[in-house]
Amino acid sequence: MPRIDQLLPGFAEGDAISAEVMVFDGILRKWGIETGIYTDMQHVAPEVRHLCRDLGEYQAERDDVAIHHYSIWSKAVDAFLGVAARKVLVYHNITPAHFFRGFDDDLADQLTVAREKLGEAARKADRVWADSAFNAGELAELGIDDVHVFPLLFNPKTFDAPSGDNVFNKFPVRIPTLTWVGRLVPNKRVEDLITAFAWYNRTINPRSRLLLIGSERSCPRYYLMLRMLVCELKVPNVCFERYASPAKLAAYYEITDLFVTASDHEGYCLPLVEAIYKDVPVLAKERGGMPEALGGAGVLYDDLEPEELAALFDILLTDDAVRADVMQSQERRKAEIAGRDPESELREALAGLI
Amino acid sequence: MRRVETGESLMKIKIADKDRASDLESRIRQRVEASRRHDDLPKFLPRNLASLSLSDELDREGYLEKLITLLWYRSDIDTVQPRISGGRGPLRGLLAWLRRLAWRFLQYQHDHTAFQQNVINTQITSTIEFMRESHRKEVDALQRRVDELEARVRHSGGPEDNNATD
Repeated sequence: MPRIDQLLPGFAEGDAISAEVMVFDGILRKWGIETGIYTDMQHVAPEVRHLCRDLGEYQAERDDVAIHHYSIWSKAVDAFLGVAARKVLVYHNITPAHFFRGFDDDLADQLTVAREKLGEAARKADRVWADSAFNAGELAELGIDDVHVFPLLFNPKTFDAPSGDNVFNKFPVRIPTLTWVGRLVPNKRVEDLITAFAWYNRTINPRSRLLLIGSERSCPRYYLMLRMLVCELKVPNVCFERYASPAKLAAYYEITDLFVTASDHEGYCLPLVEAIYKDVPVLAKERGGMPEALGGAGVLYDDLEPEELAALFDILLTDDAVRADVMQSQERRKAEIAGRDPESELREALAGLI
Repeated sequence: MRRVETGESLMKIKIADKDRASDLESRIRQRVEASRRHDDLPKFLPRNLASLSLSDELDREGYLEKLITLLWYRSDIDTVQPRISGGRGPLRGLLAWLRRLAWRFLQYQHDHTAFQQNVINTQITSTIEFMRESHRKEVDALQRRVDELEARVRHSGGPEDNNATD
């Protein structure tokens, strides 16, 4: 039986790609296949270092399989392309570099290189998977047509742990709560949410809050701009909650009345699926892979000015009939998500390789 | 001009995969009209002073330059009387009066502290600006030195010649 190893640029708890890697890892081990997670240890969170091995240790034979999760140019791509093993490239999308110019020029350069070399890397792979049809479409534009769409996996067990009590203690008063979850990076357009919330809080419902949950470490200069914006608009109740463990995240969803995102670019957007799983109505901009993640459920918008978006927040928070339509659609989507069988999907995707 | 000011309609809203822009648009417009008449509108700074100007696709240096400009604009604490509300409920008038009274007692100490904080903010912003100027001068001097050395190497036949003699 060949080894099947996974290679990725970094690894962290709460990161969607790392979560999928863990699901694959668990399935491969269950099948009795030797497997490992190889990454650049400089980009591994201390609490999960024991799960990974350094890319420098990676070795494979011709019959082995290397699965590379591609989202940025990194040492992992070099290791993947340089190995004799059969190759599977999983395309998780590359954020367009222009979003990061000024905020992080080095990262913008890495993203540019990743996009320039995507076609070349995909052509060297024996199989190419994409986690949404949107991502597969980007590959098709580069002439890579034989792409298997393997939607990003969501592990419901993530939320099985008891919800974090400290979240309930921190927000004991139930007031309309809008929540956004993700890394604080420029393509997420969190500033649009803050501006719309400023309209909502000041002119429609001053007893409301916006929770922003996610790490600020990926782009500190962008985070600084957001903090300055909140101060400038003098809008209260915008809470930067930073990274939340799965247990805490579950608790945040429990106090949420509306999940919101104004992101301009997403390959898929796993938090939409999480919110649906936690029975929270979802409002997302119709961009990238987000319509696929919603699968016809929830609310999609585009071309709304901030005050119009604030008015839509109000309708979705107060109109029972509209909320019922949203929740009904999300029930159906939730059943689809729960009905996924990652083991058979992975077996099918790896057919012919093992 | 922003679209809400021109009255042009382009909004897209889908609920459960159905186009709902047409039936929600009039409700959204009504709410927007009501919001715009509100006495506590969010106040937006001119674009050149707004924090969002940091997202204008600057480069690393441009970002820093802009940030220092914005810091100067923001280094003072606002001592203007805050908007005092009594919240909701039958006692809101009394609560608002009590809060205004409390503010009158606290204002002197508040302004005194704000003055001290403003002095500290000015010192910090100035220090950052001086450090940046000094860093830039250092980099410029190094760049000039590198240019001179490169020119000297070119003049003397270049590194290839040196290698050839090794």
